[in-house]
Amino acid sequence: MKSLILYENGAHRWIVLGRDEKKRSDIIDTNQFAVLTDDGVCLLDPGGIEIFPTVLSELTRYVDPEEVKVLFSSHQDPDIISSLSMWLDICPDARVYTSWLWTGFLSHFCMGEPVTMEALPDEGGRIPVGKSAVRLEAVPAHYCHSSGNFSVWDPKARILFSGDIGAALLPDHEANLFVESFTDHISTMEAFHRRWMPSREALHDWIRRVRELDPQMICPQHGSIFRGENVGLFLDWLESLEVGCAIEQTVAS
Amino acid sequence: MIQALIDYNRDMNRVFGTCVRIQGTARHLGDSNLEIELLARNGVAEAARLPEGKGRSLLVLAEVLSELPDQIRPDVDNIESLCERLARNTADCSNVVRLYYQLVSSLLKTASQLGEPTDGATRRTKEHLQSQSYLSGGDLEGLESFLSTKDTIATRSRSSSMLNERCRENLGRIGDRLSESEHILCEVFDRIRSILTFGRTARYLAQNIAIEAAAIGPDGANFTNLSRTIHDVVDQLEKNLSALRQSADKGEGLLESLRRRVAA
Repeated sequence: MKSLILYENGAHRWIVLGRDEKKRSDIIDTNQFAVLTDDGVCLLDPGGIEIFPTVLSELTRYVDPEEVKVLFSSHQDPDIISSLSMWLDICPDARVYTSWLWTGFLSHFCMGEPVTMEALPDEGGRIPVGKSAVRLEAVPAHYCHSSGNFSVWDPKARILFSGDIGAALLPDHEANLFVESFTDHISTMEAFHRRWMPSREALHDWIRRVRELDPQMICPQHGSIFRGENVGLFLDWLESLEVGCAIEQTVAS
Repeated sequence: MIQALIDYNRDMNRVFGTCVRIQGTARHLGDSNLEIELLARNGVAEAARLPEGKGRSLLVLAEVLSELPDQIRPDVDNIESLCERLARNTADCSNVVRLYYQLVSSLLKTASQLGEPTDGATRRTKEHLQSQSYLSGGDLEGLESFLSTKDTIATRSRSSSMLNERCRENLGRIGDRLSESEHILCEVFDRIRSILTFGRTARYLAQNIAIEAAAIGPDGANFTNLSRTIHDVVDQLEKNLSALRQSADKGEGLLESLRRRVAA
């Protein structure tokens, strides 16, 4: 598994852990993100149970895992959060943030002790990491693709974690953590977005919100990260894309 | 990698499956118990209708028979609740093994990244570490010793010690759960023995009822039928008990094997 510091300003750091070349081929590749602060760590979509050992081992390069104070789950899928019980065993005081829609569902990923979750309301809200001054904000991304879905915005680092929005299914040999040629990258994203994003209206609402934030980096949970001019190119491409329309292709196949 | 732990968890899940089978069979025992109770009550009513003298012995036998189910009911109910406990305990143990497996995997991932690839001795140690079963504290010690001497990244080294400690705790929890499961299974065997005794007593009473029924001629026809039906119900009861015993034996064998592996 590769890991890289995306942003660093004192104790405030963004780390990506992903592109695991040794992972089993039957498991979808995922990116995990850790936001380090002077008073704890926030894990964004900590991943599925099968990749937990690799993520944990890689994370320990940067931080003591007991410092994880927040586990954020953009939505309810197993590749996002099925490792929940493992993380809670190591850091039992960590607070779990997810959409109010999914709190009862995520509890199915727990073992033993009941877990109190922080239910995010539909309009989103702040995600505190300990007493740190680092501000993380849950940005509504409902129906992109899940009906209760959030992105996470860090205004200081100007990084947006976008979950499945911007996801690309890269071939195993594709090792880049960042998008290099946006034009070439489209082919790895298009089918995924057409099929997985059910609502153009919802997607446009998200694009409007993100344009207002003006991020320098957009970090999806699958595939490569958009930075610099690729951020704008991605938003423009996404705005022009017909989504929720893959049903004809599905029926035809 | 650490196939022994994967096999271990598979066997643990088999114990869980056995618990569920025992529970299912135990429910049938309850049905047989109720059936005997109803037959015995009918027998009491029939015997009371017979002319004085003729029905006296049958009345006594039927009354004794009708009291048996009440005596054995706590054992039958107990088997179900014991199996519930056993299933919960086994599921919990399986979760701990799963967690333990993931933590050991994480430590082994870290170990695989340490040391110079050209260093033959380190490579051999790493191969040795990868091949261990990690069902004993000794294997964990070996892994911890390697990580603490080879890892130069301070955070990771500290984290490895913490994770190793967690592994040791979890290994202890697995051992505790297994001991508890074995203890519960012993109680299940005790209950099976009690119910077997009950079956034999019911069969003995049914035989006596048949003998008494034959002695009173045509008036005893209903009792001959009653005796036959009780034999059939006890046959079914013993069949269920035998299945239950087989499941419990299997569970005991698996638990013993699991414990042997942890203690090894």
